[in-house]
Amino acid sequence: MGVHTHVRELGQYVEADTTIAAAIVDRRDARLVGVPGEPQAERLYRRMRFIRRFEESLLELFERGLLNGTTHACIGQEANAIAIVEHLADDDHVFSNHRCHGHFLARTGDALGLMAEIMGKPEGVCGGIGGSQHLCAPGFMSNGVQGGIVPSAAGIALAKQLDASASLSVVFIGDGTLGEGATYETLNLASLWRLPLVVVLEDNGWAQSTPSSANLAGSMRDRFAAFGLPVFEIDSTDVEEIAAVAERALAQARTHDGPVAIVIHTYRLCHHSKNDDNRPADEVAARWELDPIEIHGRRLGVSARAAIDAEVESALQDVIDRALAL
Amino acid sequence: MKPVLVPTTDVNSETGLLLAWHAKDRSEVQEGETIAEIETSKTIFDVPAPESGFLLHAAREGTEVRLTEPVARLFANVDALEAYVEEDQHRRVEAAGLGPRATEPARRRAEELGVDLASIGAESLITVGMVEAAAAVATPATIELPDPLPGVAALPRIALIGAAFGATQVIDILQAAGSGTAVAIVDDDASRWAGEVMGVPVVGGFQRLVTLFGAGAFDAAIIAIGSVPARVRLREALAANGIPLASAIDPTARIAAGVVFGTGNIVCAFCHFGVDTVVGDNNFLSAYNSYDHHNRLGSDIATGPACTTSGLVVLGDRIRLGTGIHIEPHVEIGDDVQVASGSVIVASVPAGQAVKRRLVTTVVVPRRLDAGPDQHDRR
Amino acid sequence: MIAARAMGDALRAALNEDDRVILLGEDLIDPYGGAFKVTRGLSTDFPGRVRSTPISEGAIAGLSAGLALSGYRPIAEIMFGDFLTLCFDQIVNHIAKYEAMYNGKVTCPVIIRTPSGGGRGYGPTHSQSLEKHFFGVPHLRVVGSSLVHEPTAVLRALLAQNSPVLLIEHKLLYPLHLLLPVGGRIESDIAEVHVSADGLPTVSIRAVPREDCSFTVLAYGYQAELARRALSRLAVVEEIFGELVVPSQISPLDWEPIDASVNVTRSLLVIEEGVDGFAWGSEVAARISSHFFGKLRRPVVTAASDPTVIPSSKMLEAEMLMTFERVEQAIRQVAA
Repeated sequence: MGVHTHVRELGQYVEADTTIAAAIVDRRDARLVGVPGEPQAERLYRRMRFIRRFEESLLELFERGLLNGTTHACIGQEANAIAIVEHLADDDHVFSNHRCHGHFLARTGDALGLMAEIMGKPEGVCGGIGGSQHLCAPGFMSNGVQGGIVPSAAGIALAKQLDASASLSVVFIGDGTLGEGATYETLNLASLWRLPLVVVLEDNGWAQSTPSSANLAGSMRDRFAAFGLPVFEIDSTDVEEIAAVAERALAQARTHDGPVAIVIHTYRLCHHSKNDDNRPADEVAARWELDPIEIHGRRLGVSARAAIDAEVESALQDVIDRALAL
Repeated sequence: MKPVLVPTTDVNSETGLLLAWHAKDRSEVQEGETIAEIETSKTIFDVPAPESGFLLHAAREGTEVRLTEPVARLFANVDALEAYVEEDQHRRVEAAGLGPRATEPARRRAEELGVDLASIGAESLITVGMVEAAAAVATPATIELPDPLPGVAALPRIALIGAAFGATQVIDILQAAGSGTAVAIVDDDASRWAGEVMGVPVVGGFQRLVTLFGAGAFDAAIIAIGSVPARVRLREALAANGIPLASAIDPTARIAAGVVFGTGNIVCAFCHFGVDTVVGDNNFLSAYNSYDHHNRLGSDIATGPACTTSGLVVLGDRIRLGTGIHIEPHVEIGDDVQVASGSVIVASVPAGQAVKRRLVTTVVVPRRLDAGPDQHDRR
Repeated sequence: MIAARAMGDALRAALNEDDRVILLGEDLIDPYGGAFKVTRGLSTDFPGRVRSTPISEGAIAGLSAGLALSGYRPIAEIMFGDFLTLCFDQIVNHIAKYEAMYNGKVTCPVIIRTPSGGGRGYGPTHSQSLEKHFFGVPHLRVVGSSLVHEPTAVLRALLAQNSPVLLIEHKLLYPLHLLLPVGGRIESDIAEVHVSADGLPTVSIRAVPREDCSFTVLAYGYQAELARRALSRLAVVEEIFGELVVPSQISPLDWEPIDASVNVTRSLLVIEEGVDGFAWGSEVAARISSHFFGKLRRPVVTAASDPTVIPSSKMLEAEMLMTFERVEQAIRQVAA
């Protein structure tokens, strides 16, 4: 009711000062997003390694007290983001959830924008206002309320249908999201109206501290099938296996007259957010054996792999240095 | 839709005062149920619902209603009622273009003062203030307002307020009693100015009264008006201007021992005040009023002729009695009570109430031929 | 023209003038044409752009969000204002936040319209005025439909902006004729129209010049109509003169026309149908009391429905809801 000098009216929110934006060119660094012409296997490895190292660096910056707030790293799930995004076109749209860094980096490659955003800087993707969970870039959005993004993604799909565009609206959810009613309302409506919506469920077995066995009755795939969605299901952390399924699923999504579901059984190797992991230690240890970076990294030659690691490291260090200097 | 008209054979009144609604607006009522009460010049009586249905008020409590128009309407069901309200709103939107728009108090004042609303020519609603301003303007300065009479030596000079029939009574009483001489009359109705009543000039309005008192042209005033609200309003105005009241008591009044009177009382012929009765101020008591021993009367009371109380009766302030009323002993009548003519009151009446009588009419019917000899012969 | 028809025409004009407009809601399709018949005829004349949905208020709001993010202009109907609770997450955490949290990179111009209010005896979950729970949600505008505002003009003004709007339509207004100011008058009252920078009107109605009004009444929707009738009657019968100010956008408020009136009358009554306590009137009272501190002739008076459920029995409903009688009573209180 008083005079709120810092409250901006809608329409007054503007992108970061163009001079600042101009100073940050080259947000897409080939060392992180893929060198043109490199073999596909290396490309996939490099892109996953980028996400892994970004997330680990982020958590380290939190440890050092250089970042505040909360964040939800996707360590262990990198293969899912890469496998899906590799088969998306520029005019497809991705809507992600609270654990969105992997999807964001896969889609945009904007490490500096994301780092600056999480640091709360005006040069961040959303001027420091959205932070870790609320990101917006061309072809990408994320929000932090479970299930709430699914209807928005369906609305974007509806817009594509009205535009008679052939593009897709992809939404990433977790096993925990299956508790939210909005998800089911949307599956029903999307199927009824044959919307070009792709629901990617990353089932990592745990919703925060609760195993899915304590959260979900019935079958995951049956939930989608109940609304008439074709379901593509895979239990793997191998990026090439997942990519193969993703390719089939997304190809079908483009021709199929209605929504499609992709269910990826995976595992989160890091904490839910920060220092809140009370899963059985032996379970977590066993899953480290299935680290997607390792599984795929073994396919590369030792020196090729080492070279990529070094490039990613150096590129990320640049990003961190520049972000900290902002 | 059934219009509800006031069932009265009172041909002398064109309007009545809607005293109270007994059934709420838009409520369901049964045939014969009393839904309202109306006061006319003669009496207060009930309005029954002519049939069952849903009631829509057509007038507000406390307002004047035309006796030829419905005070309410009855509908078979709520939807019909709502539909009528909707149409009516529309009708009023259209009718709004016609005629000068004035508040009801302004209309009444305009009538009192003889002002033509159309002559005011206002852009928005005409208010009392605007009517009074117009009346003041309408009185051309060219009218020669007469001077008061010089009066008779040693007798108090009295100014009367009200130039209608009340004045004739007061002038007559003063002449008969020899307790004062009427030297001037004032009235808010400017059309009466420069006229005269029984030889006493009408010299202007209330403002003139104040001016004349300031100039020492009279000694006290009497309010010669029967309306209770007017008596109250004028008494307060006189007090505010420091003008004392005088009384006019007919010489035929029989006043017993110990009786105390306040000021400003008008007592008409053949009134009786019993032993130790106390009377307040500014009362207008008509002929043949009898207040038996040990009564207490308040102030600003107005009565019709032939009202009679028993001993130990108390009347509050601002009471209006009709004519021919009888009150039993020990009864207390509260402030602001109105009593219909012919009432016999046997129990106390709380303040703000109305005492009414059901209208009973005499009817002529054919005799029943098989009834045998006149029943009255059987004892 | 009755308000329901006028709103239907406003939607028709929107569909005609802007290809991006899409209508979503339950039972909108002809021949049913909406629970209150507002959209009758539209699905026939604009096939594919007027869609009936399953009973999924969350999805209705959410899909509208996605459409708006993609550049469309969705106008969603939530069948009863009571069901807004089912959209609360989508409205508060999504629709109202996208533009601001993404630092202006997107806009989310969703319009959600809903019939609300009591007085029909529909009972506790079909009679409420829940807009009070959306007042003060940052970046969300709440607009109240009233008989004195022309719906096509209001909708056009809303569509010319890119911000999300909750549009409250009181169901008892639907069968009533609009009372639009013509030549500076509504019926025989003076009617002054102030238009905000956003093109949203506030109408001030008085029987006599403002200087002769001894108080201001602030109200919207059906309560504004009750207040208008009460003030009209009280003016004519008892010479009680007040000025009625009817804003179209009720949160945030355009204070200019309200201040202009209170500045002269120095006395304010705020009327709403929502339940009392932490309500519209509370906010107005706080702001007016602060802005006019020391200049008001009496504390701001607020009148609202009693804070309890709305009974189905019409008699019981009339005891707790803001009715004509209670409006008149409140006016007498501030006129005394």
